[in-house]
Amino acid sequence: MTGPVPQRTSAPVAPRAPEYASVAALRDLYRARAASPVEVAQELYARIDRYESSLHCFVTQTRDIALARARAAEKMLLQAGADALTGIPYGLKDVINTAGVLTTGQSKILEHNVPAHDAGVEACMRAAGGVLMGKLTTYEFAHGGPSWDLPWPPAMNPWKAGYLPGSTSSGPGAAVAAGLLPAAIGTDTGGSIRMPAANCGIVGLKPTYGLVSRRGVLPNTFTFDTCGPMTRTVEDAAIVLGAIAGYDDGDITSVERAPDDYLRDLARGVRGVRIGWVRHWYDGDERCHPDVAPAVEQALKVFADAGAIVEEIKLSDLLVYQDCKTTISITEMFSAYEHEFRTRPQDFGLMFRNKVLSGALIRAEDYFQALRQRLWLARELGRAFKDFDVLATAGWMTPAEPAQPDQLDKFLRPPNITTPFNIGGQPAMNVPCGFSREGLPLSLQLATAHFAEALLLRAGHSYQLATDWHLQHPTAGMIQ
Amino acid sequence: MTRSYVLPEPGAQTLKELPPSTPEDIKRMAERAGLHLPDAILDELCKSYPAFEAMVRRLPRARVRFDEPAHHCVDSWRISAPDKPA
Repeated sequence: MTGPVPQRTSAPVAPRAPEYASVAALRDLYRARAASPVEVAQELYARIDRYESSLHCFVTQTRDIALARARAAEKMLLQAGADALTGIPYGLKDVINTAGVLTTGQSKILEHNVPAHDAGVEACMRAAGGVLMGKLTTYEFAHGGPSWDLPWPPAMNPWKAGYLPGSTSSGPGAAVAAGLLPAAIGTDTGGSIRMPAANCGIVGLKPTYGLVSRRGVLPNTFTFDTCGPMTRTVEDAAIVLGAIAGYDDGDITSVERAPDDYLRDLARGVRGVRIGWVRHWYDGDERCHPDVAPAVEQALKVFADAGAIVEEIKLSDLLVYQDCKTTISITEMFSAYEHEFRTRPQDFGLMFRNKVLSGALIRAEDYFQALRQRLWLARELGRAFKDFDVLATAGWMTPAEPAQPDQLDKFLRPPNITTPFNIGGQPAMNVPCGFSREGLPLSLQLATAHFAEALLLRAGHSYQLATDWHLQHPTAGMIQ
Repeated sequence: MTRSYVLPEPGAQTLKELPPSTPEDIKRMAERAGLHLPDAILDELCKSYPAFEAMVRRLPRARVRFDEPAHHCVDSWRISAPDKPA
């Protein structure tokens, strides 16, 4: 494994509380009574006030709710009690229902929608003591592209002015990377947690399909949708996942199983772990940005140096996965929003319409063939996970890209490297693995067998113990 | 030698050879689907649909009659477990 490792071109800012304090650090500070949840929330809102006009991370800020929850957390901590996320600020992608709080899907269709009930994942965050800071920017109904004809502007990337944060969990990605929040909950149907994690230089984890409740989450594609954590460290992702994983009777796809302790084996390392390296997805069938391949290769060398066994493997081409996923996706999505497409199609944004309206023309036999193909591809992945504990590939094909409001969405863009694990339903996680020559974050994608999140997190944490990419943050100059 | 997990293709048959639908075809299909769209949105559909049509036509078709689909009645982790076919 050789090749130059792209290095960032500007000096990182040293982390200092609370803007870049991790969830784990805040928990320790709170328990030692060295920090106050109320003060942390107030300081983060001051930072949000400073940068929100540039980054557009929030659709709705929930200051009253946050301060009330922070005060309750403070009281709880004084009584020497604490839950997993007591006093930890977080945000929710604005497709996740919040009782009494505007939930728009970033769409004119739901511009004034105030749900009566919390989504399952918000109920978990709330029960764990989290402090809801606001509802975060997405693409319309977590699909399409950054549309400039919606009631709210798209989020922007804190690493470079005028650049996008990546796919639909864009507000969460930008907010966590910019130090506005230590954690957020995104959704991932084809890569919408992992792509913004890649382009913003943070950690994004798509759990096993069925592990985290989607009750009360506006649907993109029922058979692929997942909710998961977006954080700056793998350890934080483990903490948040521990709070949100679990059976929910209100989600028909929720899986009833004993909860895992994602922190218990986090530091066990990767000696002897078998890693299947899927290089041809980004450096074969499709060509990634020239800075991506050397960074991923260097990341795998870190694993090999830590005692993992790395072997290159071959799976079906990305385009095969993409055709299958997109056929299923646009059909289901049109079905979910059919009534509005029939009655008020002009109220959808152009990007969403362009990507979903065609779902009306997909024949039942085409959808059925895609479902058959999905089983075929899922079995292929299942066979690979029989021989390998972890699969590794690029987190995304390119660094962040510039915003182009005047350009229609790119239908023929390279296939999506995150989609295969949505097809298979396995957990997958992106972790920062370097910077492009332009100073934009690059990412490594790791995946494991179903419900092997503990191993996935262990592998990611092992990588972060050996590297410091996750400790580098955008400077104030970059954000503005 | 790189180990491959690609399962054998069910057959080379696809619909790729069919001619692309014309804007008139697309408008007829939209009408048959019960969509009554403003002209501007119908024009958008005529521009966006061909990329999806090409995608759908690349899907393999030559599957045996008994080849099951992935569906919601089977838990996702069972779908991909090689020793536990759905």
